[in-house]
Amino acid sequence: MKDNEKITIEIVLQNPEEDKEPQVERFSVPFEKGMRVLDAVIYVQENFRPDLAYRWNCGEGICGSCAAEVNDRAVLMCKHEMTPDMKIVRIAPMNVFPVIKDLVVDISEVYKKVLSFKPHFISPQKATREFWTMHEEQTKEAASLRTCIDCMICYDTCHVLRNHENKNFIGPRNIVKLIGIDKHPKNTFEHAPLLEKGDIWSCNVTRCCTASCPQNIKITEDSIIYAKERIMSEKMWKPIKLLFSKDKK
Amino acid sequence: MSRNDLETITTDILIVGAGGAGLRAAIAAADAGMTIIVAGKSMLGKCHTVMAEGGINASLGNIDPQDNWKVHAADTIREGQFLNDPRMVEILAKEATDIIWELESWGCLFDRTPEGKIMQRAFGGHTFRRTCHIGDHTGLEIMQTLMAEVRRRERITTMDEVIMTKLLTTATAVAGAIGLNLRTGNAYVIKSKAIILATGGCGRVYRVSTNPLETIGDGCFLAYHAGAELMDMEMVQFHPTGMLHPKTAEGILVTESVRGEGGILLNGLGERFMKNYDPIRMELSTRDVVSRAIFTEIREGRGTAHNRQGGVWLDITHKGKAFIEKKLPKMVKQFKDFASVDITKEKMEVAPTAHYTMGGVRGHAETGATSVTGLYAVGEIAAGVHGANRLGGNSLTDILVFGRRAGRAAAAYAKRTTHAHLPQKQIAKELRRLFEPFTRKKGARPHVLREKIQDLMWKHAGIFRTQKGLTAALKQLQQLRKQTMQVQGSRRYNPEWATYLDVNCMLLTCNAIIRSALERRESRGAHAREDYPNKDDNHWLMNIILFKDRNGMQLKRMPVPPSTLELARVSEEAPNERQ
Ligand SMILES: Cc1cc2nc3c(=O)[nH]c(=O)nc-3n(C[C@H](O)[C@H](O)[C@H](O)COP(=O)(O)OP(=O)(O)OC[C@H]3O[C@@H](n4cnc5c(N)ncnc54)[C@H](O)[C@@H]3O)c2cc1C
Ligand code: SF4
Ligand code: SF4
Ligand code: FES
Repeated sequence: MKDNEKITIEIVLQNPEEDKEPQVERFSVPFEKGMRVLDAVIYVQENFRPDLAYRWNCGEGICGSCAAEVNDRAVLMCKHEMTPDMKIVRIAPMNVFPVIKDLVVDISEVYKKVLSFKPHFISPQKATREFWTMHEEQTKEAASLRTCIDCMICYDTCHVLRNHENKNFIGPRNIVKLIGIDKHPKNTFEHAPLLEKGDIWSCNVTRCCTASCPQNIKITEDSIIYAKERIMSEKMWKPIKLLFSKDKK
Repeated sequence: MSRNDLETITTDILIVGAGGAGLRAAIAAADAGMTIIVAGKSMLGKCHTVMAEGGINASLGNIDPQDNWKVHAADTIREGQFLNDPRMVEILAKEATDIIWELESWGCLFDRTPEGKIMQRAFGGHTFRRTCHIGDHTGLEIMQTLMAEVRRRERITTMDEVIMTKLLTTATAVAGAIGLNLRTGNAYVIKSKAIILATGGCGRVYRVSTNPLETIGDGCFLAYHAGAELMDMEMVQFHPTGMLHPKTAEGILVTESVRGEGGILLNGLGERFMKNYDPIRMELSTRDVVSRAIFTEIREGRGTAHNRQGGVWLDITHKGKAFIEKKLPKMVKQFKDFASVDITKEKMEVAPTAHYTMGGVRGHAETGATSVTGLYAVGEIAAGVHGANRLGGNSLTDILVFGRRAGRAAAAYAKRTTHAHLPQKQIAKELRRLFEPFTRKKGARPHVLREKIQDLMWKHAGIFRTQKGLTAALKQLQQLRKQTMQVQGSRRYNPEWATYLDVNCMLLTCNAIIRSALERRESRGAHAREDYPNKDDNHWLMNIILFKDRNGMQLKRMPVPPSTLELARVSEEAPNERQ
């Protein structure tokens, strides 16, 4: 396909105030080599649908605002290429979230779920006003988890949430956040053992979340499996610890 | 909308802007016992600050033990070409260390040295290595740290996707502000005792910019119309090479190391044009020479095809795949991810890109207090600390050091004051302005005006400037201002409506930039006048200040505040090894 030939895209539109059901509309957009899905959406908004709702800000994959589903897969629209061999490009809002309008969704449930865990870094050394000594071998694992940009793509991808298997599941993004704190070398309060309350066992380790993450975070290995192991070892060791500790609480 | 269904929310302090500056101010003010609302145009954590890559400066001396705050201050003033407010620079350099400690104690994980201390990298213009960093995503980790601190403080309420469009004032002080909730399309009134502006810079008033979509200088618009002063608006930092295509990637930085590793610049005709500008150093000439050369090629019609007025080619393919992948992995990935260009086989399309706004709202050095009682300005929107040019890595320090100070000062003020009465006339007038464009049957489309403004700024008020170009730009801007705009469709989450509001801000911000650029008849720092190519210390150790009176925008010059003797001495003495 050459530049300026037309490519057809479909956008799933809905204003919940007015429409009961989402509508699918087709638009014809001039193709340019290298264009991103977001370029096509901007083109449609500027030329055909002034009030088409979508989010973007940075255009370089770091703010995490522009996630939407392209041909049923959640991606960052600013990063996802429109290739000429894509037969139909169908752009829809992320499926697990309530729609505010068109491609804009309400992601607040993700934050609500995690806030009850008080996801705070806690360290008693705070009072000393001295810098810490930490080595990169210690910080490495936490560091990679902490590159999460809150795009919510993994949350939308996970079948447990997507297929309504268990809406209470805290979701991969939140596990990444909590373990990102837990793995901080100076953190003294562990969130992992609490994660049973977030229904972590609903996750059957399909690794789809890891495959979807635009930051290439090893969500399953580095956070979910780690958390499950922590829960198990806590369970095994707790009775033994209690037995041997002097001040039994 | 009638005034009856206008929701009014009351708080002690309203913070406009949820970037690093706004969040740090919120934390400080909350810790002083105040209730706070922090409003952002985008969602929490999606602002400009998350994009910061390189790092944050503090003279910890972890790598170069000779470093101290005085050398940091001296470097900052030298790079700022002595236009900085010396007291602000002193505060910045002195409090930087404490800011880093604070971040670390909140769990921010900086990269480490082999001994386990915070790693510090070299950055252009710094005498010593003092830039602390977290990979190439320093801003992201800092924002995540601040967001966690904000969320654990119950006194802070954050509001996502709310555009504050007008500050409400009484004859003596601020009373609150009007905001538009993008998600519902409804307006709010927020009643507050003090307001902190932390809206970030205005890089996006230029066609090509590293800044995110939302960064168009709202703070200037809000402050100016509330009666505060703007300063140093002519000082906008450009980078010689940014990406150009596709549109969403437009402006993303292309590092200088591409040229350093042997990349050559070609115009649209395939000529290696640097031979006409600097035949000896060619592509490795200084930043400003390269920027101007690229810009001249584009302006004179020898540019490439993309993006309205085009750019030039940057080509490194002759170095071979293995070399490029080894030396420039980040660029290989960036062009692949955002433009599907394989830079080992294809040329890159680049153009100069607007990066940072040194100017902005004028505030008190210690607190950020503006000339309007109860109104504070902090972060990239505040003027003064960077002078005529900003040192890399100083901005993140700036937003946190002064964010904390403004938060404390606003809290102290709010404690000893009461809520003012809301000025009903101002509210009615603002609501009319907000909803009017929906009632128009015809009018200009806001995004069309936005592009026109961006193009004219880029052409005439960008990388280099002339009397003639600036005057022409001013005229064009005045014509654009006369056009009425129309907004179509529903009020709920309507991006065109947001653009309409942005365009109104841009018209004011650009007017301020052009007026100041016309006034400064010399070249200094980021401000390059072709018709006045030299620096003129005899006449221009002055800040240009803009303010509003009955006859419109007025301009005055003020001598740069005197430096403390000690600082003046260090800035002259400081060695300059690592330029
Ligand atoms: C690519 C890139 C790399 C950078 N790298 C570095 C670096 O390495 N080191 C460094 O020191 N600096 C760097 N900078 C600069 C630095 O990131 C910014 O100067 C800094 O983050 C500005 O922070 P801020 O809090 O003032 O504003 P911002 O982070 O821009 O936040 C502004 C906030 O105000 C809100 N807002 C604006 N208008 C309104 C309104 N009308 N109503 C409500 N809310 C509003 C926005 O939504 C946003 O939340 C870089 C910048 C870029 C673009
Ligand atoms: S690994 Fe677990 S969290 Fe990830 S997608 Fe599969 S079920 Fe969901
Ligand atoms: S873990 Fe990855 S996919 Fe999930 S929210 Fe974070 S960045 Fe997005
Ligand atoms: S626009 Fe920021 S991640 Fe896509």
